[in-house]
Formats: sequence, structure tokens, C-alpha cells
Amino acid sequence: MTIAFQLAVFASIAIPFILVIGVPVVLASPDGWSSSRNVVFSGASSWIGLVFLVGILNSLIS
Amino acid sequence: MNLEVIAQLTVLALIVISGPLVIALSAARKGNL
Repeated sequence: MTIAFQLAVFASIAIPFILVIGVPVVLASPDGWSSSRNVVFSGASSWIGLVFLVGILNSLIS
Repeated sequence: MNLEVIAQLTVLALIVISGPLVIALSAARKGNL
């Protein structure tokens, strides 16, 4: 259970780091938003899910 | 060798390099700079 929590915390740090780089590049790219919109939405929604997952796992391991 | 300091400097380097990386990637993709 602890390793799942640690992986979730790592993912909740790594995914926004990728989004911080990827979202401006996608928005500035010609025809980038229409082609990469689903990737951005998937990353943002998975991060929102990870926030709740980290909260749930934190209450389970301690 | 203090591993914690190395980890902090590594994360700091990733954060600092992310800004110019956005510019470089946008320029490489011929984006609207």
C-alpha cells in the first residue's frame, strides 16, 4: 500500500511537470490545440483524479 | 556526499530548465512565439 501511495505522489508531481512544459507548447503550436486537445484534457483530468487518490491512500496507510 | 542536497539541486535544475525548454520546443515546432 505504501508503494502505491509513493507512486501516486510521484505521478502527481511528474504529470503537472509534463503539463507545465506541454500545455504552452501545444497552445503555441500551429494546429496544436485541435490535434493535442485530448492529451491535455487527459493529463489534467488524471491529475485531478490523482489528488483524490493520494488523499484516499494517505488515509489508508497511516 | 549529501544526497538530499543533490536531489534538491536536481529538481531545481529541472524547474529552471523547463522555462527555456518551452521556448525551444515552441521554436522547434515553428509555433507562435
